[in-house]
This record gives sequence, structure tokens and C-alpha cells, in this order.
Amino acid sequence: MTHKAAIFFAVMSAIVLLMRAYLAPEPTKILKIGYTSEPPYSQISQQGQPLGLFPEMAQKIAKELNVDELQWVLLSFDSLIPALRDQRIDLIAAGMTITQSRQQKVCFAQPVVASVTGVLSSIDKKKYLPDTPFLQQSLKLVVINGSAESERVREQVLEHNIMEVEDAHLGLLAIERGKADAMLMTEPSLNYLNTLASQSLKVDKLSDWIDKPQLAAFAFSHKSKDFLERWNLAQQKVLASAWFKQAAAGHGFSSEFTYNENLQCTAS
Amino acid sequence: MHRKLRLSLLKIWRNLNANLLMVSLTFVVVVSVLVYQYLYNEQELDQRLAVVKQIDQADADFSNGLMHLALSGDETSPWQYTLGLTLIRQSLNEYKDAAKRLVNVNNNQEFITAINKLSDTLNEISNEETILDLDLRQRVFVMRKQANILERQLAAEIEQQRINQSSWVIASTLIGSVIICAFAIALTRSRNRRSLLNKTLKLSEQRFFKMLQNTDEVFWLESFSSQELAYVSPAFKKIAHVDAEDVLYKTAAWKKLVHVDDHKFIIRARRNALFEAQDIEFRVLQERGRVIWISGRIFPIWADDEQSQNTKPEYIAAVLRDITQKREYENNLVQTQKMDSLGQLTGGVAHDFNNLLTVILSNTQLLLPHLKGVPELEYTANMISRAAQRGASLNQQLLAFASKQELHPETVLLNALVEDSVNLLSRTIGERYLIDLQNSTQQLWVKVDPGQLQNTLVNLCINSRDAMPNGGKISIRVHASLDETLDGSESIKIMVKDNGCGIASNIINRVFDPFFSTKDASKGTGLGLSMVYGFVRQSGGRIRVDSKLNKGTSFHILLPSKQKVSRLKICRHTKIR
Repeated sequence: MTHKAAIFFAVMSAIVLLMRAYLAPEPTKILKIGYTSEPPYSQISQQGQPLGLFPEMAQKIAKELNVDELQWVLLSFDSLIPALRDQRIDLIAAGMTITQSRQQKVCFAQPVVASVTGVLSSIDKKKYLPDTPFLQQSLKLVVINGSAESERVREQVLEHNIMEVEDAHLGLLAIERGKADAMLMTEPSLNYLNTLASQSLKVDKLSDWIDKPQLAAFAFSHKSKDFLERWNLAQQKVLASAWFKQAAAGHGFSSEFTYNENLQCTAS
Repeated sequence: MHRKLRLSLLKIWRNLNANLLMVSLTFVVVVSVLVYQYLYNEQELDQRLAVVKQIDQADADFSNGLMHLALSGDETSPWQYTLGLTLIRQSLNEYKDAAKRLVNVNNNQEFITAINKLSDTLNEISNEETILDLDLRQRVFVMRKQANILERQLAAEIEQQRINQSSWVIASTLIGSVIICAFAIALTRSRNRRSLLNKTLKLSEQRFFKMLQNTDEVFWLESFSSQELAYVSPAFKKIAHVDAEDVLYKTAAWKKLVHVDDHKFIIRARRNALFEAQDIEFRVLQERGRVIWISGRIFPIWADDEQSQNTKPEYIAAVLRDITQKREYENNLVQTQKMDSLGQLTGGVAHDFNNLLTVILSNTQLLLPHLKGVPELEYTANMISRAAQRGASLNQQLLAFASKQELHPETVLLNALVEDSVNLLSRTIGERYLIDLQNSTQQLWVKVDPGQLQNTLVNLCINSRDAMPNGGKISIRVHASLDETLDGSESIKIMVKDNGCGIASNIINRVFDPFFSTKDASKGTGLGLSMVYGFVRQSGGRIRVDSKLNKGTSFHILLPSKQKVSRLKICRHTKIR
């Protein structure tokens, strides 16, 4: 190769590298966090601010990670995962339960709290019988669209016995107005709803069908594996803090659980 | 043939490979630039599409928020109010964010103003809790109308950008292809031209070296700064009798070749050659001590074509040739011309002088009978007569030198004549001298004056004797000469050689001059060799002398032969003391 040709290619390479540097996106300093109205995992204050265990914890972890700004995006529960996959949000702080099917779509951080599945039903109507096997009871069930309970119910309950609602408040209304016999959610959420109820409702543990405790965690996109690792490290610090023990207990969660499964983070 | 074909194919393949490499690299660079430009445009499009999506999401949030607000009148659903308001505010923020990202799009300012007004109204409403206000509805309508306009405009621009992108890609691909093709053609042409130039250069070099190999001139190229010999042409060995390998890449190699007496001259010439080419003439000492004369020109060579006074030349070059033979010819010519002139002069003077002596001698002879009885006058007349006779004798020698003496040539057998002369000499020359006669067995006939030839031999032998005062050997060799001829005709050579004191090179050209002698005045008149010279010339022959100081002298006489001669065989060898 001649001397001139070498100079020509060096100049062209430099131009290409400069263009590449010019086109490279700047690193994001703003963290967009998706949440929903599902107390006590996450909820909205009277002033429209995010509340609940996961938003509060997200703020503390973000502080550990020196994130400049947090942007909160209120979404319906079923919109959380699509929003994450569309990069509208960077993570989900809504106490999402770790399930096999969800792990195909998102990457979960280490679990934060555990909770059992409960049944909310009217005391007066006595439709739900705790001592009778759950699947043998012909109940009109209300579940939140996109929730873990919704997934399980769809597998073994007839379609016409399922009522899917956008959020927990609508589920509560459905029970109160007799549109459904029982509502399936995690026990802490149902306990919170029961405090808002205008009628006599009860919360029972569902022990014969969904017996395993549900583990809730922050969820990330598959593209954020590096950030997820840093998040987990910071999360460990927050989990070990006294604040967390107090907050978890205050919201009715159990922070004492064992989780031996390997979390998968593989894009589908 | 097969090997030649294979080499040709290999050469074509290498050229093709080199061309392909260059074209491929160009192709990669051009394609990279095009791809990056394409990706850049795509990125812009993606950003605009993201804005459209953001507007859609904001629209959905806004609708959802409105729905929750509308339902919040129910006492059982107080949470809907907060949820609705939060969603609407969130959507307004998303609208604003989208508008900010569209800095180049028309109407974005109007849109932002509409959003701000709606936000203000929402704040007021939330405070007063009167949500079904006409003003609010109007502002919602204006804001959403603006949002729709913006979205449509954005969609139209994206569509246009997509079309432009396609056109750009097609045009870029075409231009890139043309550039690559042009480059490939230019590259091929350049390579062909270079290949042709290389071939021409190689041929030119071959011709030049062929010329150098077949010329007698020596080309000498030496680094100016280091004096290292960079190149010397093949003729060098012929002239200096030294292999080129023995001097190549040696520093100041010329010093070992050039005669020491000429070193200063060469150094001066080299110094002067910095400014202009210098003609030089110097001696080279060959291996066996033979000195040859070299003539030529020395000149500088600069690295670039521009000669500069401030820069030193890269090389110093010389073109040299052997002029020894030429110088010898010139010397001989000068000598011959000188001897001819001297002969003419001497002959003329001697002739007139002879006439005068004849008058003196005749008149003295006439006077003498009349002076009988007058002893004083008779004595005087006899003195005059003897002096005149001596003068006549001297005059005869001068005439002999001038080749104007009266000769009586006869066809004689040279072998016998020389043998007789040697016999005569052996008795007179002395016991300390050995005469070694190498006579040819072939009968050698010459037409000369036999008496004068004997005189010649005697003269030469006496000279040899005088050169060896302590005795020595005088070699006489007689043979037919085939190497040297007289004007192309056959000749016979007589060589008289001694191992005496020799003659200095600065006077050797004068030995035949009349009255020139290195001997004492008592030993000769300085006309002996002059007579020999004149006799040989007058006999149609030639004489030359070779001598080395302290080694000896040899005289070579060439006489025209009277019969065809063949290569001689000297088998009669006579040594006489």
C-alpha cells in the first residue's frame, strides 16, 4: 500500500470514528420509574405523589446509586411490563411478583418481601368457605388484570367465573356491589382494601391452592443487566437497614423468607 | 515454458490481489460512511417516532385521567379523583416533554402555551373543586386540537423523511459505486503505468550496464562524505588489474591505486570538482610495478537535481580511461620528429662543412710539396691537414646520424654477419664480459651495408660494456620478428641487452641525440648512438631503447627482411667470453 493510500484510509477512519462519537447517545441521568395504585406496594398520595413500600425503597436505592432525578410514571398494572419493554420506564416499582412467565419478559432484582395469597369476601353473603377446597367452590372471582393471581385463575377456573379489573379499588367495588363473590390478591393488599370497605368484608388466607408465598421485586428491562447488578448491590444495603425492617412490617409484609431459585434474565 | 507461464500467472494474481485489496478497502470505507449516514438519519426518524409514541401515551393517560375524574363524583370512589388528576398531570408533562423534543417543528410553541394554560386551569379547578367548568372544557379542546395537529404534522414529516431517506440511500449507493469504480480504474491505470515505467527503467538499466561492460572507460562512483566506493564498472579490472570486489565499499580506495606522487594532484582535483568538473591525468601503479597513465574527468553528483553552493554533493564520480599507449605513441612521435629535425639540421651543416674541409684539405695537399725544406711551415701545414681530416671524420659521423652517409648495401646473411661481429668483439671487449648470442637457426637475409652494421653492433656493445664497469653479460639476440613489423612488412630483429646501470627515464629520450653522452669526455664524442640511429633509419629500419635504472638497457633494431620469415626457433646458443 502506498504512503498516500495509508494517509487516505487513516483520515477516513478518523472521520468514521468522529461520526460514531457524535452519534453515540449520552448516558441517561434520569431514572423513569413505573408504579401503579396497588397499596401497600405502591399508591398515590392526595397530592399525586407516589407512596408505598416499593416507591419509598426505590428512592433510597436511587440515592445510593447517585441518580440525579426520578421521574414517576403512573400506569395501570397490566401496562407496567409493556411500558418497560417499550422503554417508557426504566424499572417497575409496584411490588410485582416473580413468576416464570414474567421472567421471560423482564429481569427481576433480588426479591424484597414475601406475602401469601388471600381471599376477600363478604362476611354476610358467606359465598367463600375457607374450609372447602377452593377450586371445588363455584365462585365468581375478581382479579386484577395482569396480576399473578389472574394468571393462575385463568389456568384452572372457567372464563365466565373470572372478572378482571384495572385496579384494586375497582375489585373492592365489585365485591361490595355483589358483582363478584371473592377477590384474589396478596394478603397485605386485601387487608388494606378491607380498611376502605363500606361493608363487612373478611380476608382469608388461601392455603390449599396457592400455598407458596409470593415474592415481590423490582423489575427491569433485559437491556439493563449492568444497571440491575448495581441496583442489587445497592438494594442489599437498603434491605439490611433498620428503616426497611420497620417499613416492611408497617405495611404488613414479611421480610423473613428464603429464596433459593436462580433468577433468570434472558430476553425472549 | 511451463515455469514462465506459472510466474506470469503468479504476477497477475499478485497485481490483482493488490488491486482488490485497495478497492475492497475503499469499498469498506465508502460503505461505512453511507451506513453511518443512514443510521444517523434512522436515529432522527426513531426520535420522531418516539415523540409520536409519547404523544399517543400522553393522549391515553389524558383520556384515562378524564375518565377517573368523571367518575370521582361517586361517594364510593374518592380515590378516583386523585388518580384522575395525577394521570392528567402526568399526561400534560408528557405532552410538554414531547413538545420540547420537537424544537424544529412548527406550532410547538402554541402547543406548549395551550398545555400551560390547561395546567393552570387544572390547578385552579383542583382548588375550587369545580371540574365541569366551560373554561376547562374549552382549554382541553384547544390543547388536544393542538396535539392532533402536531401529531399529524409529525407523521407527515416522518413520511417525507422516509421518502428522502430512500432517495438518499439510492443516490449515495450510486455515487459510492461510481467513486469505487473510478478509483478501481484509476488504480489499475496507475499500476499499469508504474509497471510499464519499471519495465522501461529496468531495460534502460540493462542497456546502461551492457554499455558499461563493453566499454574501456571506467566509471567510478564514490560517496562524497565517507569516500566509500559505491560502484566501479567492469573495465576497472582490465586497467588496474585489481578485482572490483577488493575495492568496492572500501573507504578512500583510490589512494591504494594512484601513484603516490599524484596524490596531491588528485586531492586538489577532488576539492576543485565541488565547483566544476575537473579533467585529470594521473598514474596508476599496477601489481607488477608497471606504471600506467589514466586520464578522465571528475565531477560531483547531488542528491537532487538542483546543485547548490551550500549543500555538499552526495557522490563524486569519475570517468577514466587508460592513455598509456596513447602517451607512448605521442612520445615516439615527438622523438621521431625531433630526430628528423636534428638529422636535417645536422645533415645540412655537415654537408656544407664537408665542402669547406674539402677545400682546406685539397689546398693543404697542394701546399705541402712546396714547403719541403721549410720545416716550420711544413709542420704547420701537416697540422692543418690532420685537423681537417679529423673534422672530416667527425663530419662523416654527423652525416651518418643524418642518414646521409654513403652506404654500400648488400644482401647479406645476418646470422653470419652477427656471428663474425661477435667473434671480433669477444677479442676486444675484455675478459670480464660475457657475450651471449642467441642466433636464429633460420637464415635471415637483410640488405644493409655490412661494415656499418658491424659498426652498429660494436657501438652498442661498447655502450653495454661502459654501462657495466665491473663486468657482466651482454645478450645479443637475432630472430625474425612477427610481433613488430615495418610498415606492415616482415622484419628481422636484433636485440642487444645488458644488465648494467640503465638509463634514467628523464633522459632516455635523448640518448640518440648527437653529442649527448653521460660518459666522460675521454670515453666518447656522443655520436656513437647517433650514428647507429642514422644508419638504422637510412637502412629502412627502426630502433628503440628500453631501460630501467639499475636493471639494464636493451636496444631493439628492426631491419627489413629480404625473405619471408617464419616463427623463429633459437637453437644456436653461443656464449663467448
